[in-house]
Amino acid sequence: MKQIVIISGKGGTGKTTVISALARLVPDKVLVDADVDAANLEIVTSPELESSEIYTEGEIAVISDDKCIRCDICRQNCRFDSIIVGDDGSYSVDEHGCEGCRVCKLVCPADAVEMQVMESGFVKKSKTPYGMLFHGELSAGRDNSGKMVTYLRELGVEEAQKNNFDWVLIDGAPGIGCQVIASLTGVDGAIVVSEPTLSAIHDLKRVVELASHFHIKIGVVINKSDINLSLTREIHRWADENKMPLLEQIPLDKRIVNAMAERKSPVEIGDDALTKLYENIWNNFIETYFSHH
Amino acid sequence: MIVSVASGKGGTGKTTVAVSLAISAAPIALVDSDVEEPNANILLRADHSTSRKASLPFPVIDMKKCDFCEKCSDFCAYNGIVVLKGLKVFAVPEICKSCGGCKIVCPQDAISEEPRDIGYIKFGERLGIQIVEGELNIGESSSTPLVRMLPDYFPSGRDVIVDCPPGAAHPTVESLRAADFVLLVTEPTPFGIHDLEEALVITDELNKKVGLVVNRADIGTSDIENLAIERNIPILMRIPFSTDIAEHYSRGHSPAEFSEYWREQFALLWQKIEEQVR
Ligand code: SF4
Ligand code: SF4
Ligand code: SF4
Ligand code: SF4
Repeated sequence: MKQIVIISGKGGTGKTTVISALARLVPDKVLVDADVDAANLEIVTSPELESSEIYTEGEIAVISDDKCIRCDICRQNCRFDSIIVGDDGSYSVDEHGCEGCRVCKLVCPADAVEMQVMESGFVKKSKTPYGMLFHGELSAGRDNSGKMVTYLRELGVEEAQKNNFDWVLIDGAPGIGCQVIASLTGVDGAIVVSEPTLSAIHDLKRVVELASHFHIKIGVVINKSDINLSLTREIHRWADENKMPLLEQIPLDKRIVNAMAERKSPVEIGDDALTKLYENIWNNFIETYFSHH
Repeated sequence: MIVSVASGKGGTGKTTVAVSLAISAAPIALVDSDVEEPNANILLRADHSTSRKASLPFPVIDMKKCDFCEKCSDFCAYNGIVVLKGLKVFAVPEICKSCGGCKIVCPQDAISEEPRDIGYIKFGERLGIQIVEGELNIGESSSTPLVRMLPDYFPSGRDVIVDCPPGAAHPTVESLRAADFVLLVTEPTPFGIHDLEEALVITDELNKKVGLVVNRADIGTSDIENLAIERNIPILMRIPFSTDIAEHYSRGHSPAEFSEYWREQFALLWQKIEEQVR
């Protein structure tokens, strides 16, 4: 069983489009949406919810107004500026800012601070026509959750092992932060979706540098490849230099945009030549790195 | 006036809108708080005249004073400090959140702090736009501390446009805090709507005035228009799906820079925002 993550660095390059196609093309797999801040895989896989559990992570401080003597010591020691003094002089905690470090509880002379476990979202298991989907839902405003991603991946791997499946396909988050780090740690391969724009190339290089710390097998897809042919060549050259295969180039196509807007994948448009492009992504990736499979 | 430009979803054209708006509203300041992937200056192309390191206090242990009591590791809420009994005590850079608690809790006064770099804050100016850009070092797991530092560097005496991180998590909340107005850039797809609703949860909680820019307005569904009516949110601008804009963007040119028409449109958008804030 191998875990493959689809990432992009920059948002909007077509990562979800690619994984929506792979979800339909790759047999015997489990799907994991690791972009818990903007969980979009469920939009293109018509899931039927099987189970959902409340996900708790970390704590926040709560100040009891009865006990508080308004000495201000907590505010002076909170490095996250999360102690709020109200207009009436009362003390409370900003639940978006609080990192649960417990320093206020430590320094409070009046024992007025309690720590409370935080519900930070849901972890869901759903049945889709393309296999089981594990997806999370992070409550808006909570800290980006690497731990939720790790947990979702564990659930996905367990399910794949139980069914003797070959693949776990993971939809990664944009950026380079903890969700992305948690998506990359311990995976077998990464398909990086980019586009020929200066911004996307900048972000592509940053996320590949991050991925290279984890010694992951990387393949590159250039989406909207025809909007700037010279930048497409530049990505190609850069991929060659860094010994990463260019898996496929996919031109800008309004039909793809419209299909996604209708919750459909590009392989459902019914254009065999287009479907072939998405098949190539997977086949080229597997042949390059996992052909003994 | 501080205007934050945000989008629930990445890749909706948030940075393009922020930079174009800045070009049309100049003289102005533009702050890039998408520190994981700062892209505003790819479109603005200002030379960075100065930059400074952004750092957090990081615990350093004086082993001559330490008696391995483990109070520090017992305290740390993140397991960010490790005590190897009889050998050494050290904090782990990727995990420590620099809360300062271990230093307070140590009975031997063995812990002091040294700055640990987490990224850069860069400064530059072009087209009458002062840019302040945060850039997180690769390998750092949390962007929130760097995002939180940026308001200290907002230039005084100018209006500020903040290019926020994508999504609706904590770094976005921090990027919206100071805003007088939040411009949400979205697209009329199920993804755009799903993520816009997440962003609205935050702007509601923070009690912010909001307006919408609908990008690629001619594709997909009209659900976004309905949502705007339902929630009583003004749509301040509609940008059509355009290969011309996409091509220019690919080369690092924002619409307001290459086209007189778009420069006027974004000037109009700025006017509408000013009216909304007043
Ligand atoms: S737990 Fe830490 S972050 Fe939260 S309010 Fe207390 S000191 Fe601040
Ligand atoms: S330290 Fe305790 S008593 Fe003092 S203001 Fe904070 S909560 Fe109140
Ligand atoms: S609390 Fe201080 S003395 Fe105790 S183990 Fe930590 S560093 Fe050493
Ligand atoms: S500074 Fe805070 S987070 Fe860092 S090791 Fe000490 S207690 Fe843990």
